[in-house]
Amino acid sequence: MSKMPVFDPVIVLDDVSKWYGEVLGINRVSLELPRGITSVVGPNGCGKSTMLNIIAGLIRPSRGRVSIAGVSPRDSEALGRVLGYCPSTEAIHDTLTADEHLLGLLRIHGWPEDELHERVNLALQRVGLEHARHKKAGAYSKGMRQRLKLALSIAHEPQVLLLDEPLNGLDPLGREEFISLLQSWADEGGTILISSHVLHEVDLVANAVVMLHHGYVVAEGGIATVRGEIEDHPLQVTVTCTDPARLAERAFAEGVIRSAKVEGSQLRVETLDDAGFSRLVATLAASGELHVEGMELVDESVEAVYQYLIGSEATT
Amino acid sequence: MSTVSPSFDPAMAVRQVLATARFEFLRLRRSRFSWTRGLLFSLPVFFTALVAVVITWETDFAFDDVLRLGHSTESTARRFHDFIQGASWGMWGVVLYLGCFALCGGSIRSEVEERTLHHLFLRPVRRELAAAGKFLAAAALLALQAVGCWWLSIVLFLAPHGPAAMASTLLSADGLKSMLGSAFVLVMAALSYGAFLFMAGIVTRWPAVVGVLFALFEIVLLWMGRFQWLTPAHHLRSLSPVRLDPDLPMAEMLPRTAAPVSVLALLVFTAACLAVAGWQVRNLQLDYGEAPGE
Repeated sequence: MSKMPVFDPVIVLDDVSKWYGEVLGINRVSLELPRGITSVVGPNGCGKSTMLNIIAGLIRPSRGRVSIAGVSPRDSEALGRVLGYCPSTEAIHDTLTADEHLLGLLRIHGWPEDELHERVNLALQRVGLEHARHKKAGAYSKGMRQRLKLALSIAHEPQVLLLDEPLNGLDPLGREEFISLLQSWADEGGTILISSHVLHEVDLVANAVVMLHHGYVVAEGGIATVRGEIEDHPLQVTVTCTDPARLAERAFAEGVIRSAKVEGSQLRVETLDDAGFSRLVATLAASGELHVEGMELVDESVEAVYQYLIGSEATT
Repeated sequence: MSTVSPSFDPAMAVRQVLATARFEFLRLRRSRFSWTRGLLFSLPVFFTALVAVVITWETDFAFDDVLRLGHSTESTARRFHDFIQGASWGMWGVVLYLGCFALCGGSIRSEVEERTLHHLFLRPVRRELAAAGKFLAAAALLALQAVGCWWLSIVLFLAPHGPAAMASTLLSADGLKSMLGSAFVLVMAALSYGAFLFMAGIVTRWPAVVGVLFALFEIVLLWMGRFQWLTPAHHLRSLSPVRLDPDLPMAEMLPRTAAPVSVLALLVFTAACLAVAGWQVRNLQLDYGEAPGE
């Protein structure tokens, strides 16, 4: 990763709005994103790509201020050194090979030829495209195109990485490899902003979330924190135990749950008093009345929170 | 917050322009329009070859004077002279202009349509410099094609009379002057027309209309006396080693401008067009029409 001054928060959006004529892109978005992996989630058309394009300097906000590692997106020269962006569009130059793409575009960074070739080799190795480096991109599968786009965005080892629907087209193994690449990138101090409309994907990688709906930020922060802010919404908890019906009966009697559903050895409950419910389960387990195999907060996931916040139109 | 890099490194800027041009040159060479362009530029060559063969068949004229025809009074030489005048007008005024329109006019626009321009704009280079690199690549490719095509045409004129006659003609002082002079004019034409159409392709929504209007403007100004000075065509003619006859429709109606002044005028014209194009590119919003609701 390039050695640059450390900024925290790394990405700052201050009252940013973007209008396309009368159509709203994003509205009054103010965010301060730290290092690590943050996901931007929301259904198609909610403003994710608009936000990423603004951060990448490809479009200008109608109002507001943006800063990426202390650089304004208008300063394309400085921004190109600290930022890597993999947009959602699949377009690449079909008549050029992966090697030609990377060498040609990275040469603009001004590195000596030997360093340039080293960086290209490393990038192709990281995305697993070495075997097809001399093949024209027009003959690539969707997954290979995605890998090339990723290679182009990470080859200069930027401080900040923006990824718009990056897992599209990748096979399960490719996804696993890529997620591990992102995690190691973040562990090294990088900042990654990843957008997806497939919520469970970002749930696997992100430690913070920004939820967009119709151009507005409806929630932001750590996934658990966001969930915790929803005080009047019951938590869903699943307990796997030997006698779920008895547990449900005791929980209703104690008044720590609002609803319960038994499915085989599993009990799924809705509770506003998760601490009280946990204490009850622990007491019953300790007294030997129940044998508890597992207990899980179901809606700690991004998808559950988003569904709660936005309602039925949340997932696409 | 500053909107431009605090320090500007001219050496780095030159390297970035050249790197962009190198990538763009490769892209253009491989683009899907390569065959179309090749066909466009091969037409004059084919036509020249055909005429050379027909004239050779009709006459036994010694071809060693082909490149000094401006000084010849022989009737067959006259025909060659007319042909070269027509060919140069056709080459510079039509084929190259169309080439500039296709290559320079579509340089940025085609990448926006193909949704690939962000690959370049996300690199650490000022957008104006990236645009300059793209333009240089297009102009260089055009100039190479035009010069190669023109020289091949001349060689084809001479080919029927054997290598000795060809060599003596091409290596004579007039022959070399004509070949190099024509190449220089073609390079200047690729730069000036290319820059104008490059700008038109970025600034306007209808570059084809602008291209046609500009061509008409140049033709109309042929009859506007000193106003001809405003057109690249006048300065290109001033630099041309081939003089058009006064009785031809596209003749020079204004005395030639001194070569250094014409070169300067063409370079200023090119720079002005690139400055406008650079300003527009700097402010270009690249969302590929993916705004919500579209």
